[in-house]
Amino acid sequence: MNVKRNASPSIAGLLVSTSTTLIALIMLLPIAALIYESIASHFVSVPELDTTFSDLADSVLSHYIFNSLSIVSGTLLFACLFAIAPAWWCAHYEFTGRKVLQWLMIFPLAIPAYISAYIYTDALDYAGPIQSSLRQVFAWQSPQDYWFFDIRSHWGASLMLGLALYPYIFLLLRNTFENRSQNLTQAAQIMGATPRKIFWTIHLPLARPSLAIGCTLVAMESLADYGTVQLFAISTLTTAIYDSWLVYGSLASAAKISCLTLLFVITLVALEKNSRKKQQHFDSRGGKACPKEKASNIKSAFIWFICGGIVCLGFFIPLLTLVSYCFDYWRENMNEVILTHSQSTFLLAATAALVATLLAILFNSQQRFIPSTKNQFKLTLSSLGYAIPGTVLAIGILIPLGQLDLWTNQFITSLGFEKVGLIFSGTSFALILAFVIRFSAISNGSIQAAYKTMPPNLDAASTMLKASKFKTFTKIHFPIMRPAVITAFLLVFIECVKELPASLLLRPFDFETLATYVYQFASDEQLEHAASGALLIIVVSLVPILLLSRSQKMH
Amino acid sequence: MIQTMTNPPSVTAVELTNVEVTFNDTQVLQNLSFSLADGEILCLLGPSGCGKTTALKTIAGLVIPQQGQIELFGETVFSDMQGNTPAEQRSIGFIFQDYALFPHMTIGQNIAYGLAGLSKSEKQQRIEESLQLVELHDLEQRFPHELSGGQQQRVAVARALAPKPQILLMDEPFSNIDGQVKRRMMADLRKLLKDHNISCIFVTHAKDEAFAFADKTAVMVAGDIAQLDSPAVVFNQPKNKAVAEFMESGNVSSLRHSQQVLDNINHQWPKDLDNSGYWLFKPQHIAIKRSLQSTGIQLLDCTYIGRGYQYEMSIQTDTHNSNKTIIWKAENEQALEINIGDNLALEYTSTPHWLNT
Repeated sequence: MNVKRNASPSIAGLLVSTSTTLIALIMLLPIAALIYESIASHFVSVPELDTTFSDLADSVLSHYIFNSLSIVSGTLLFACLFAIAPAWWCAHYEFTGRKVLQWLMIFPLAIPAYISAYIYTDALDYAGPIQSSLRQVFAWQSPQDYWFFDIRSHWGASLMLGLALYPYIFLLLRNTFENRSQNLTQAAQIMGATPRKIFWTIHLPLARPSLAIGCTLVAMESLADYGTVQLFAISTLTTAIYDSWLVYGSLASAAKISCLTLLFVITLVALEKNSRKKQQHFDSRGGKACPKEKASNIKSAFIWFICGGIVCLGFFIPLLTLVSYCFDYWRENMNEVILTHSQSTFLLAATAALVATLLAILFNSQQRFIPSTKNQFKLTLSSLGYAIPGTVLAIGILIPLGQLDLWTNQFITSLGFEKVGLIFSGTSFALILAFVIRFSAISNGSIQAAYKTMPPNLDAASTMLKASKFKTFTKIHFPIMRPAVITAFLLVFIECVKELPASLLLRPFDFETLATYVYQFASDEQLEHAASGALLIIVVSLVPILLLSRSQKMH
Repeated sequence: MIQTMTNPPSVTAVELTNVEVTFNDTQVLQNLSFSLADGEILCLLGPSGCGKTTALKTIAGLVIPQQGQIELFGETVFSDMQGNTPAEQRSIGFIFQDYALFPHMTIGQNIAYGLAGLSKSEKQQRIEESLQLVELHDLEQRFPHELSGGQQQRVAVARALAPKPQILLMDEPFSNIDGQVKRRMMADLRKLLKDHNISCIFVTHAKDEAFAFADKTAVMVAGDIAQLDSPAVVFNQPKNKAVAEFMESGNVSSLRHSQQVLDNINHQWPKDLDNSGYWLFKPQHIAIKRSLQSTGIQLLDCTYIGRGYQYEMSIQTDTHNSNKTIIWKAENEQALEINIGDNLALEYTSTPHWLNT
């Protein structure tokens, strides 16, 4: 045994620390660029020429803020409504077809909210088949003769987003409920608690960390949504940013509104962290998971009715509508272009998902091995991208990458070579970077949750058995968290396939992803002509969902 | 069979000198100093939060102290002047309270984990030896969740001993095992450690484990060792009030209270001590009988404790014009013909033990 004098970090440790610092800084770059842009515009440009932001602030900005918060709250309400009770039923009861149902409940994750929104608008609008049929049956002549749910409203947009996003909460909560300790349930039973009381006072509070993570994911997604709110003509902070840049051409205003949006996001993240701060749950060997209770026939039918209804609304109705569009417009839908777009989308999404998952493992394992405020800060920084709406992120990426392209070309030409063009901002590199920055929070969340359930004594035991940190990671951490790694990869993959606003702005010239291809048709009110593309997005998103269900089953 | 490194007699296996550990401005270990001879088993005993697990993890290298010096078999592994030897480089086996068995590995893989550097056949041989040692030779392919608590504990022992550590540290290793199994396991493990001359420090808050398993017992109070000696000495001759109370050695009373009580009963001990300090009265040396007069001593309860009966009584004392009731316990092999609420007369049949403050 040798005493290490003034023990200094190893070269590997130093390398990891430096890399994570650099990566965290790169992840922060778009935000820094936006803040720089919004501040620098005061000094560099002539304020009189760009009054977009002050005009907005004087007139409709408060309205945009209210709309954004209203959409976020409404989406959370619907998502919790669709997720909490079904997650409990699937975890607590044994009933016919439970495995199929809990599998189906994740399917809506495959349908982008703007596609559902388009389909439901088409169906529920005044001129749609439902209202038309009702008017025929009841002989109503005009809208004044009856009341009908207005889908083009805050509630409508929240419902569409809630239907598309609730599986995040469902997945996390079901996992937590499945692993709830039998001892706790029995202890509560012995003390006279009814099943209802046990749920509200024991299981739901213990599932709070999962609920908080799920709700934060849903809130951030809904805050960043562009497609749905734009389709419903609801002006939110995201659409304001988009309009500021693309309609009014004011990058500075877009940057300022982005900074405002970020404030809301930081508040959300802080609330989530605060709600979990005092709750640490280690899945130690102590408690066995509760066995499932056999549900009566009536209860089973009720569960199937409610959950089946949710799945129909969130998945089967949009899916069948798209299938019918495909049949009705088969000539427009069957072409090779769609195959090319699907291949490029798949490749992009897989690359971004792989990078995001590897980074999540790197950041989280660093914090596990060397817990420190600095490492936690880096981890938080690497998750911030999820908060940045796709449009804003795209602009935040274009600013530094454009500058990098400029410097690169200047350097190349100074050496006597020809210009290489926009090799950073004009290629798939920008898109992958955007996806990684945007969706690292998802992979981080998944890996972080896996680490939280891993008792710290496993690390200590490994150390006492003379294992290096690398061995502890490869032999202990990684095998235990493998399901979480698969989950992280798949969740990021799905998000990348569905991602729209950043893809719209960052796609290279003459390059389409499936999402941009479909959205262009939807915004022209011709989704019927791109139904096969939309179906492909759903299919591509479904494959990982099927694998996810399988990996969860194995886990 | 597993061969562990043997050292000449009277070699010091572990020596801690003025070790201090502070977490978030709270001093958990305060100038902790003690030593353990090679092949000895030491029990760190104390109430929750007294720092015993921290002391164990500090020796293991899982917690790095702010000050002090730690030597293992004469080699300095920590010194505030020189630095720290990482945990993985100290030849120490550790058994955790929850055993920390790797849930995704078989029992064989768990044991092989700490055997880096050996060939495949050597590893297999060592696994078989280790499992034989703990009598689990047919469970190599099982996973931890397929074993009982006792079997898991034995796997943890086998895993800790397989790399042939010089010292074994155990954090409340028997807390999850009950009754008969616990006693048999303690006996088996003690024999194993003695047969292989392995020095061991284990942490517990249960006195009976210290009595049954340890050669020496160190009672920890507030991050420091209050007394270190054989379990019998610590129990019968506690050094101070804190140790006596934790060990439940007997009735501890301040000198003022004691004198007043003893004025009324038969006594033959010096009373010319100053007013500070405490007496320890062993329950088995208190003879009680019913009194028809009011003595200020009343029987509160009677409990059968296996070796006899324990009587709990309240004693009214009058010190500086203030009334106070103290509770004492007495023991008798036979049941006495007294009832709860009866007045009692006491006789102390030995000399009480003097405690420092």
